[in-house]
Amino acid sequence: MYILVVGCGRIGYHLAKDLAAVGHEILVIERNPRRAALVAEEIGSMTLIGDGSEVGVLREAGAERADLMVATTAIDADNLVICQVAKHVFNVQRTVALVNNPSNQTLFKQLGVDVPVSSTEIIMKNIEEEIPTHSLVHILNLESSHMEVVVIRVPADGTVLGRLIRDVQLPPTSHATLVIRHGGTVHTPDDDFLLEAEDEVVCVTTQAEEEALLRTLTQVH
Amino acid sequence: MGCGRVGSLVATQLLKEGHEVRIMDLSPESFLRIPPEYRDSIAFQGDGTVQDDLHQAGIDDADVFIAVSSHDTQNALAAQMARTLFNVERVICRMNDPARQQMYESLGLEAVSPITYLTESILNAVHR
Repeated sequence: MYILVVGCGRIGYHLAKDLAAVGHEILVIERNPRRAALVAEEIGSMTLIGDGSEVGVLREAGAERADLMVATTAIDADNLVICQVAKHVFNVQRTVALVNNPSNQTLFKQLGVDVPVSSTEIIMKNIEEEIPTHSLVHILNLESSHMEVVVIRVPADGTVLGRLIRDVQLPPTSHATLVIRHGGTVHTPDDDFLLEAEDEVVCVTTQAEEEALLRTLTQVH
Repeated sequence: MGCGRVGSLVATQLLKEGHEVRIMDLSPESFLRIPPEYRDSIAFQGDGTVQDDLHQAGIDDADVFIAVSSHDTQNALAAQMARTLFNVERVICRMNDPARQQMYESLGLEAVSPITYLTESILNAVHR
């Protein structure tokens, strides 16, 4: 594949290096001439000095034959425009953007960036999975419907224990779909289901309701 | 968004026409471009490419959002935030690069390129 990497900071540098190592044709576009020279020397890949969000620079880079655009600068506005120019002016099929401010991730997707990558979100996800005391873990975002799948662990002295699940007031669009019990048995909770301590409840919810849902299921006496 | 030469003049003019105006910029010095009698009532220090700052600047009630900082990419992000996240009815953004101006026009933004105007008036002056 022919891959354009814009921005040669820590992330861009290692990406370019790894992608070149597995045999892709890489062109790195970097504004800072010193940094560009460093990459050229160390990776041996082609570099172009210039502003990768400019139409002229991308034309020079042969963007119309690129299969993939990866924008890795430290500025979200630049990464967005780089991907939009690649897509709309040069018809690049896949665009990937580094999202520095995690609150921009959904917006970037809406604005046509195929893969917005937020390092903060990735690290946060790992922390949630690694630290068992964290009682809510994100599993999946369903971008098209703005719904998400989360797992919530019921605490040992939770107020939901011993109550029928139909009597627990979940937020209006949130649903408890599966319960994984200690030891690994899986239940699909019907109205008469009773939650137990340390149950892991798989829920479909929205970002807006997530906090209320967590509060309901993890409130303690 | 953007209290440079363009932003400060546009804001002041709109204010004189009787509109309610708020102007945002990251640098507090930029507001010195606004005549002192208006300054305090319209200046808002904040980043127009950050959702929370736009919200605090009062974008939820805005009929028109104008992005005229000197950076095309910042204008593009701010303008698309205004349209997509805050549903502002009219969004106008400055694009110095005429090629990008055309692209954003085709994506439905009202994009204005000062370079195009400047080039035209220089050529007109030459041919006169």
